[in-house]
This record gives sequence, C-alpha cells and structure tokens, in this order.
Amino acid sequence: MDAQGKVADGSALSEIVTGVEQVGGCTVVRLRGELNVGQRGELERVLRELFETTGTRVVLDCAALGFVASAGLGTLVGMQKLSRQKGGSLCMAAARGPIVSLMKMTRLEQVIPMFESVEQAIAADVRED
Amino acid sequence: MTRKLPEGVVIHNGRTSVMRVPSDYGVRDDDLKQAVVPSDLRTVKEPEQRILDDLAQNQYDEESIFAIKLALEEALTNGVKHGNRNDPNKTITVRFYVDPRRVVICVRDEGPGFRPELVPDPTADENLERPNGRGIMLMHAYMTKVCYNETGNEVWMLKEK
Repeated sequence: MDAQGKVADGSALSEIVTGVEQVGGCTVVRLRGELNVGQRGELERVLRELFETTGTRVVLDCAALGFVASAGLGTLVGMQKLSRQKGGSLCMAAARGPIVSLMKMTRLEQVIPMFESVEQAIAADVRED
Repeated sequence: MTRKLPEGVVIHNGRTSVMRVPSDYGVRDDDLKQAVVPSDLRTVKEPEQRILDDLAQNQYDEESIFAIKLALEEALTNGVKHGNRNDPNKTITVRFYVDPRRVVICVRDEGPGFRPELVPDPTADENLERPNGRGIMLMHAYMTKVCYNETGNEVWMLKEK
C-alpha cells in the first residue's frame, strides 16, 4: 500500500482475488489490494467454491495484500471454520509487516496459520500428510 | 430556506448538539475540517480519502497510515452499520485534523449510541473465532487515544507520532 492507501497500480477498489493456482497439492489464492467490508464478499465467494471440494488446502498468497480491516478478519475466521468442516485447511503466506502485526494483536495467528512464504506454507502442508 | 449550521453543530432527531474536540487532544475546534456524507459504505470513502491525502501530504509512513486507515474504517463501518443501521437517509459526520505530529478524527452517526465497555474482548479465548466484534479493540490498539461522547454515537480518536 502506498501513501494514498492504494495498491501499486491504484486499483484499491478492484477485485481482490487475482489468481487461483494448483501448486504441490495446495490451492494458492493470490490476493491484492484491500480486504475490507467492500471486498470481503468476493473472497468469501471464491473460498466457498473451493471448499465445496472436500479436503481442499488453501494457501492465501498475501504478498500484494495491502490492508485488512476487521470485516476481512471476520471473513478469514469464517472461512477457516468452513475449511475445517470440509476437511480442508486455510493459511496465509507472505503477509506484509502491518498485516502480520494485526494478526498477532488479534491473536488470530493462533486460528489461521501464517507462513513467511507460499513455498513454506505448501511444504508445511505437505508434511502434515 | 435551510440555514447552514456552523461546523461541529449537528441536529439529530430534532436535538442540536455540538461536536467538541476533547481538550487533551491538542487541537482547537476551529482547526478541524468537516465532511457530512450520506450513511453508505461507499460514500464514506470520500472523507476517508481526504484524510489519507492529508496523511500523504504530511509524509506519514506506511505503518502509521495502515493504523489510522484501520481505525478510521472501523469507526465509519460501525457508524454506518450499527449506528445508522444501514439507513442511507441518515448521515455520517466526520471532523478531522492532520499535521506532521498528530491526527485527530471524529466520526458521528445518528444512532442511539452504545456503551463500548460492554463490547466483549475479542481476544479472549472464547471469542477468538467469532466473526465480528474486533473493530472497537482495533481502534483503541492503533490510536493513541479514543473516547466517546456521553450518548456513544460520536467517537474521537487521536494519533500522535
């Protein structure tokens, strides 16, 4: 996020999910921009669809995610619950400093595992097999 | 003819009240800018962007911008959803001041108010997986001072560098 509170290409109000990719037995969902009350719906829709398949392991690639508000935290918590119900998992990877601090402050890093990189998240997930 | 009210004076439900900056925030009422917008999650982006522009002009760093934006969005979302109950016929009043050392933001809705001390601690073990209820805690965690008017429909936040 730059000083204007926008992502690098200035598209803070655009879609939050920029890609969904299968990597090493996981589904990597790439995020950008702002996960707030206006954007949470789209992420929820994408994740609900993914978790319809039992056992789906989702890694959220947060490298380009600039901002998360409490509404976004609520979505993450809700989707983590859903993933468990469906025998899958949800984790976050490559989150920037302010978002890592936010997850620690709210103690949500105890609910949603966080990894420094997507590769580490995938490797950790594989080891759980 | 409708008379324009002085800045900081609001009429809600037929009652006139004055939005006064707390005396320990180090800012005079006259220094505050004001925006009154319809109570809608999209239209409240306008005063939010004005504040973010002022932060950029005053060269706040990424961490401070994240903190202030977060507290501001929580206050605006609370005002629209919980205070005004998503009624677009109501308004949100935002008063703000930004200089290189401090930021003061006030958000007021037209709702009946609430008692912040009754909001459960979202970091307690039993509440960790609740989807809602983190906004108030985040405002307090990321700002230097947070206080409310007696009714509980007006929040004043201070961030000092």
